Amino acid sequence: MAPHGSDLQLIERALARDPTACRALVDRLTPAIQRQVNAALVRRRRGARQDVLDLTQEVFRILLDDDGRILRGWDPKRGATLEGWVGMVAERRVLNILTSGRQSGHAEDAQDPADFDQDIAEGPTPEVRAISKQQLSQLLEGLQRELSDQGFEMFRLLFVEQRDVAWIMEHHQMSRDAVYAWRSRIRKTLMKVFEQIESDPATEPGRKQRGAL
Amino acid sequence: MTDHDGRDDLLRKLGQMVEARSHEADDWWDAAKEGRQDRLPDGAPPVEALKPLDDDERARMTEALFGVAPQAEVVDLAAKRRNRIRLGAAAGFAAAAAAAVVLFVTAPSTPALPEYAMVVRSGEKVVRGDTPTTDDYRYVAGSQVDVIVRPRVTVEGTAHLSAVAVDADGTAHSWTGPVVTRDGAFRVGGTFGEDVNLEPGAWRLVLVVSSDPIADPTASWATPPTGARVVEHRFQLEPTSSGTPPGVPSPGDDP
Repeated sequence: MAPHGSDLQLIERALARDPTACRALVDRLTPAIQRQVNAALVRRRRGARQDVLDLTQEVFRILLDDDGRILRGWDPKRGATLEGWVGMVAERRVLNILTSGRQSGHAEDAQDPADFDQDIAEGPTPEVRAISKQQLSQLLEGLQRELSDQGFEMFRLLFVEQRDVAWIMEHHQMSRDAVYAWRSRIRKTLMKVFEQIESDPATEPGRKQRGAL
Repeated sequence: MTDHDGRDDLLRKLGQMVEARSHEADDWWDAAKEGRQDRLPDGAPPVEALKPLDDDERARMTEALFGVAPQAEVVDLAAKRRNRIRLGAAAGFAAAAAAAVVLFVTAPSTPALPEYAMVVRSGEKVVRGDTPTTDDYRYVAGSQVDVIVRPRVTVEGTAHLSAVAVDADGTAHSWTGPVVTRDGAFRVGGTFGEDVNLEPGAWRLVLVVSSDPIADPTASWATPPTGARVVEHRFQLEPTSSGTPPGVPSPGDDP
């Protein structure tokens, strides 16, 4: 049996509460989750052991909520390993928890796909050269917060891995129009985040450099 | 530069930042594994706090998440014990024996239930200062309460829910509102002043999910059976004279 088939079986067995599989799944995925937890805490320059334990467990809870809806969302045909997929989810969710305090009982995606169709006013074109690293960091965290898991996966494919449309169509069983729609949604979300940062008095650097942006 | 070009340039720049952060996370993870504080940036949490979760920590997490008791590693414990005997450490032998006892004592006689998540769809959150509290809600007579409790993973067998309202003195009263069960989830409802009659004051709606029915929840809610899961909805029931109900009922969907 292919390794990915074993991974899918492991997930199913764990969700059915096979004790051996439950332990194996936790052992297997803890490093992928804790790696993101650690990184988020290091970036914030705070955190104790209990924070690491709580956040790691909270991400597991999110993965397991609704009978493992998010965990079952992993599809090896899309190219990501199980650990890679979980790490990506963990990165977003840890950020959400640290930013908003949202716990797994309210772990719905920040952005309903239906919202994507709302007409977001076209904002000013961000002038890339003038954006500081701090502002980029704010934009990235905003994008992670606003996009759904699928949306952030599409962002990774399009703008991190820079996959071409044909590759995404083939590996994600998506139509060309669907890929273009995601690209458009991601652009709109970027502008939404950009405007949020600009309008938030707490983000003084962005406000000060409005002209530059 | 078109708008799309500008935004795509920025998105690619963010993509590069994601890559850089990934490498950074790898470096910090290696530092945590190796206990190297010097490889973390200034002001980072102590490397001890970031070290990989050990076997015990993962076992406790597995139990919390799935209701799977820590494995009674008889063979492993015996092996550890033999090793310690070989080392001639009498204290080590005692510790290993004690560990074995603890494992067997804590193993539940019946399968434990998974964790349950509670969603409150009613009432109004209490606000102190500018910040809503995380778990205090407010109702008046006529307000509906609507609480849904769902298992985080599929439940083996049947689970039973016992609901009691506990006052500020710790006295429990039977919950007289409707409790609906569907697909392993429970929905606890009621209307204050109608099917739920409680005195104004601070209350806790204590929900105990257990593998077997609890005969008298008002007497035993504080000592739930082994493996049971307990969630609480804390709320303040305001006197009727306070005016308009603060919480507009929001029944929501069925679980």
